[in-house]
Amino acid sequence: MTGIIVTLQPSHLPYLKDLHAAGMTMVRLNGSHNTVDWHGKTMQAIRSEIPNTPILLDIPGRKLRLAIETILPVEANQILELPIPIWIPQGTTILFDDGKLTATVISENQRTLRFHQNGELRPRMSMNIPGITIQGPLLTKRDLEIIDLAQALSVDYLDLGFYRILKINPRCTQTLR
Amino acid sequence: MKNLDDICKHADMVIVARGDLSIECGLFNIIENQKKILKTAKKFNKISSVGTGFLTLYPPQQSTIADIYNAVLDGADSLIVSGDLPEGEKAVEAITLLDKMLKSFNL
Repeated sequence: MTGIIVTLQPSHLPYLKDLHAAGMTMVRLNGSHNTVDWHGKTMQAIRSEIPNTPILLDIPGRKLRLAIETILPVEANQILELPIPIWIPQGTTILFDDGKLTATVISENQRTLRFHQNGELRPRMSMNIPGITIQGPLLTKRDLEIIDLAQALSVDYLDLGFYRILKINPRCTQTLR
Repeated sequence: MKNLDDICKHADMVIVARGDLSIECGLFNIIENQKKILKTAKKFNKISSVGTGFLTLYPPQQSTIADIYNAVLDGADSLIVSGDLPEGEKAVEAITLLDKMLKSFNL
């Protein structure tokens, strides 16, 4: 029988038992969102309310996220300067939220973008730049904090996307339980 | 996709992350890549999951049912729902419906 993995949002927390009864077979926590403290409390709530349901924790790793504090509406052809954390060549297309919103880098400082459609930018929205390899450590300090928490609370699976090398931190390659 | 065999060999579970994969490998190749990943996971005897977007059209339409049936037919051990899942109590209703759909397939 095919299982259902539910990525838990804060609004789902009061319904853990109901979701389990409805058919949820595993809980997924997306480490890109919410605070480390929230993840810890949520893992404890899962263990206490639905103890036999496995937990899958997604580690953001090298996925780029938009560092803005509030929702920002944008219009087609609007030009906007944004805090892009890496160097991107002029003319490159950036895809936000898996391509639902796109923009082209138009300035020499690589941080000024022209948007292609109407839409809205949200805090920690995903950004993808096809063809660009992100340098730097595979795991951030925040990732390691979440991994330590997962280990302490015996999370069942860690999921790491966007690895560029196969030999990664052994703390991620082992099944924790 | 180039390192699929090595990844499947070392992983405990393999996830088809369709959002990112569509961008990296092309939207029109997504189902072909999904099939390749699920087949490779099976070859290495690893559990597999496919996500997400199954509930983007909610209530589900024929295309949603075809997508889910196809993932199950290709051997996905589970489906992942994420931002496509409604907020709060409505999520319970959506999971109930998805579970009912999965149980109705004669595979």
